[in-house]
Amino acid sequence: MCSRKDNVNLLYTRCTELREQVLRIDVAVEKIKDISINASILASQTGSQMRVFSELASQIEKTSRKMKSELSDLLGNIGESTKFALSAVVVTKRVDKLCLAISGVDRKANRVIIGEAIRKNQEVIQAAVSRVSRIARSFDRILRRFEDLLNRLFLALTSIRVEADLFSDHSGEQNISPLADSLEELLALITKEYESFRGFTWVFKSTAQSATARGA
Amino acid sequence: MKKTVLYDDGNIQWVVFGRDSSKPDSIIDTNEYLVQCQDETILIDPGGVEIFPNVLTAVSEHVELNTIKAFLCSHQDPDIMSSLPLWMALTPDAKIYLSWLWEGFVSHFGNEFSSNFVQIPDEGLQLTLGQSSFQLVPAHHLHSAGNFHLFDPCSGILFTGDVGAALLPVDHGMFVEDFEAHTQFMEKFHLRWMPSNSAKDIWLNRVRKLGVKMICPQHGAIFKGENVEKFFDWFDDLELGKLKRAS
Repeated sequence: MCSRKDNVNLLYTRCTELREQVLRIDVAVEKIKDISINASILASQTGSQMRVFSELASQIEKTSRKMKSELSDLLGNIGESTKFALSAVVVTKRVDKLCLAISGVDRKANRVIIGEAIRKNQEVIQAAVSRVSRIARSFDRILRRFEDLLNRLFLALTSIRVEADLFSDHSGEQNISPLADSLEELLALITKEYESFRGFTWVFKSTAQSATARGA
Repeated sequence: MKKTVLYDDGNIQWVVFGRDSSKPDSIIDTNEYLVQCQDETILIDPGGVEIFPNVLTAVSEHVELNTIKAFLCSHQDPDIMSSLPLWMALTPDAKIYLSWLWEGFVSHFGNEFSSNFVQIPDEGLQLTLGQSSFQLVPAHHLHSAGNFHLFDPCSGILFTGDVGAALLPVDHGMFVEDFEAHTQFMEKFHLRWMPSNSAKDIWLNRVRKLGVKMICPQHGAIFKGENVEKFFDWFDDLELGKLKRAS
């Protein structure tokens, strides 16, 4: 009955880890947004020659803006969830103390009162854990947006390499190579963040399920 | 936890729980007092959250929890009442008597029971339990700015919070046997914690008139018989409010 303490504590830890992950992703997406704006400007300087890249840069900018907005919403939800997780930790400590006491109480009437208090507190924990678990619903949407961004970055990088080669005599070409390098670096960074986040979502869901199951 | 019945006239019963040998050494030992009048109970300074399971078990052996109608918190310290949220989960209708000064602060432990507070005004209050009446005696600045003791005119027992407190080994008896030897366990505590000679004088002037037969502090051993007057005299002579310079 009282063994849920570790799971509830772990869920609180997961919330703080999730916040760190999302903040890191937010920084990476901000970089993408900045570079996509620069890329759009550079592409426009080349006239109509780098049309594919120009279009992709514009799409990346839009996608990164949407993702920034979703990450901002997620951070707000994480803040709320962290509060619920922390309240569950506090109430779990209360339940632990009551559980410790009930084992030494002989009077039936007192056992009933303590048992009822334990049950009510467990309901509070259950509600808090359920509320925290709800945040996992937004993970799939963030992952899809991530994949969308990754695809567009990959296409943009391919496009910039091909179009830069085709129009190598253009005056803007000298600026394209560093831009391509930057995009490549960002693609590597965002791929790493995506894989880390995808792995973490499994860990988070698993912790939330354990915490919920223990209290059932 | 050791349980000692201090007084029982068939109408009022005083019980003290203390000398918790199972608590960690890092936690100061405390005395929790239970007063039962007919079918109503008050728990005085119910204790800290860490010792709550032991206090609850001990109290449960003695009374039905649904008879607990009130708690007195002599002041705001964590060893006095950080267990209140846990107690209120068991006795949601019980009143909590404490100085008006501390209500807003103590609510930080759990605002859900703030409606249970009974604010004690600075001049004190008569508290009724069952058919009996008790005096909440002002003891401000001894050591807390808003501090109350409880006097039972029937038994002559004066609960004194940190006044008379001593830091003793857990195997020490519940009563003071040799007063002169006992002062070594009290002196440093009182010199450090009690800040005001004038607060002490006001308190002594007040409680010497009550006809006290037993002094029950929240830490340490209980004074009865001639040791009551000996304590008053010792405390009277103690020079409070002076810090020694560190050499």
